[in-house]
Amino acid sequence: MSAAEARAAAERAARASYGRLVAILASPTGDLMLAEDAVSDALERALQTWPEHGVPANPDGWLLTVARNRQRDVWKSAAHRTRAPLPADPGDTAPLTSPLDTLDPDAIGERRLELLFVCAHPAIDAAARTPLMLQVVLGLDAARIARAYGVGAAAMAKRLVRAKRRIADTRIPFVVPGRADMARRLPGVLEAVYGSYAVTLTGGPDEAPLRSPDSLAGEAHYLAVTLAALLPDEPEVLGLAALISLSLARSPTRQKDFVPLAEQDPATWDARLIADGEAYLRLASATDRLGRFQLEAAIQAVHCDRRRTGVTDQEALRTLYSALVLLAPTLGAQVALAATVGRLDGPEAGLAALPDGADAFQPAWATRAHLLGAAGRGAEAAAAFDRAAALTIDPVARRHLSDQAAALRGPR
Amino acid sequence: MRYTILLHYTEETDETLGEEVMAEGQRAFSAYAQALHQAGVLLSGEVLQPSTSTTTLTTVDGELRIQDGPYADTKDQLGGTFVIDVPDLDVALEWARQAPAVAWGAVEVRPGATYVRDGGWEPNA
Repeated sequence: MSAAEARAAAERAARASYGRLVAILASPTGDLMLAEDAVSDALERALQTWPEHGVPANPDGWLLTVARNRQRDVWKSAAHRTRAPLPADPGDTAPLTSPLDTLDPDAIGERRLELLFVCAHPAIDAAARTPLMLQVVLGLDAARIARAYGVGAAAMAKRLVRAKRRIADTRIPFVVPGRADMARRLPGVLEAVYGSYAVTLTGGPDEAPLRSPDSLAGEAHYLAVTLAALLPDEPEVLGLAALISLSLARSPTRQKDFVPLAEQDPATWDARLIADGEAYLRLASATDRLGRFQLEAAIQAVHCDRRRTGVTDQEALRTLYSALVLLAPTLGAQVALAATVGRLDGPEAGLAALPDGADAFQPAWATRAHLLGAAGRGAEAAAAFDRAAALTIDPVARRHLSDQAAALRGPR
Repeated sequence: MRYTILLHYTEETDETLGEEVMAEGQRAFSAYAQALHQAGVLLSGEVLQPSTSTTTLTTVDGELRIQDGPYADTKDQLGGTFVIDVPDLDVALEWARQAPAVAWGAVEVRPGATYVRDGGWEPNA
């Protein structure tokens, strides 16, 4: 086997196994940092060994055994003992005789769900939850996460270390909440997974196009789909997988000029992602428990349906946005409803439906600008486009808005 | 794993609160202590006298200073503590959620680092 093939095999194993192995290794003590070090070490060892001896029949089991030995070496080392003299030395207690010793490496269980609930625990700073998931479940390094958030790598690393210390020090348990607590705890997990997608939408100017391999959007999709496989009976989990699949399906594969949704060519959308998203949505709606993510996914499905029918069903959008505003009255939902009202009942009706208190909300200004333009109020529309452009981070979208303002002023 | 539940609240008296409300609060605290005890998780519990009766010692420029009043003169004061021994943070949070003081102040849950047993320090685990 060539080094390149071994590397590819190790990378494949890394993506699927990283979080699984970290969860198993960290669960007895809560020490995520040591677990991550051990897994990274095992992956590195795989890169050295596999090209020569071939990829083992059970790569996960091989990695777990190597990582576990590495973890044990650290526990036994004097360095680890003297670094923290007072807390219990795990080398003498649970871990050395832990369930890991009896664990069959050929039958590695799925512990990523526990890990997701740890990352989104209410005792963890909300701003750290998504970065933590990206790192400990998917193995992304702090620098890459920091780029997506538009913050420095050192600041992100600090935030992550603090959260991991907290998990160990306060002993947040690696458990899936029982039925009684599930309703209280699941929204935090969903928010954090959605956060990994949302950050790609508002990320810094260097953020790659969503469907490119460099984008975090693919990782967000992977997290959402994994969560749906782990909790297939939770409608909002399915709704989130549907939402990310469907909205990712319409995102550009290459960096280019901003194309508004209405002008996009449906032929460029990803048919497989759309089919996946629709399937998740069907499964979710079969449970008859509606939620915010299902509604947002249904809205995406209406847009995607233009690929089949050639038209966008605006009345369906109005119904869905109205329901969303009732269920989760965010500014985004209110602005989107106003835009739909504007298309159905005329621009003045749309303007009247715009929410108050959205002076610093970019989509509100972009929508106001379009509605003013449609109402023939060119000067006001140009000013609103300028305002929207000033509030836009993404340079491509900003230029698009500035061009609109210029076009409105141009004829004079 | 030992956790200390710290109760912070605005100090009230019979006069400001009324005897009836005060008595109700005391009943709630009794029931809470009973529940902790019966679950076998309670190591100690203490409600403190008002911070007007606290005395604070500090060293200023090498000299010991003894002062009337609390270290931090804030509206909310530390009013009491419960030390519990439970398996993990989720269980500790569940007990903290049931503390009567949740309704009128802030309840803090802090894991212990070490504790004294027979005059020697033991790691918390």
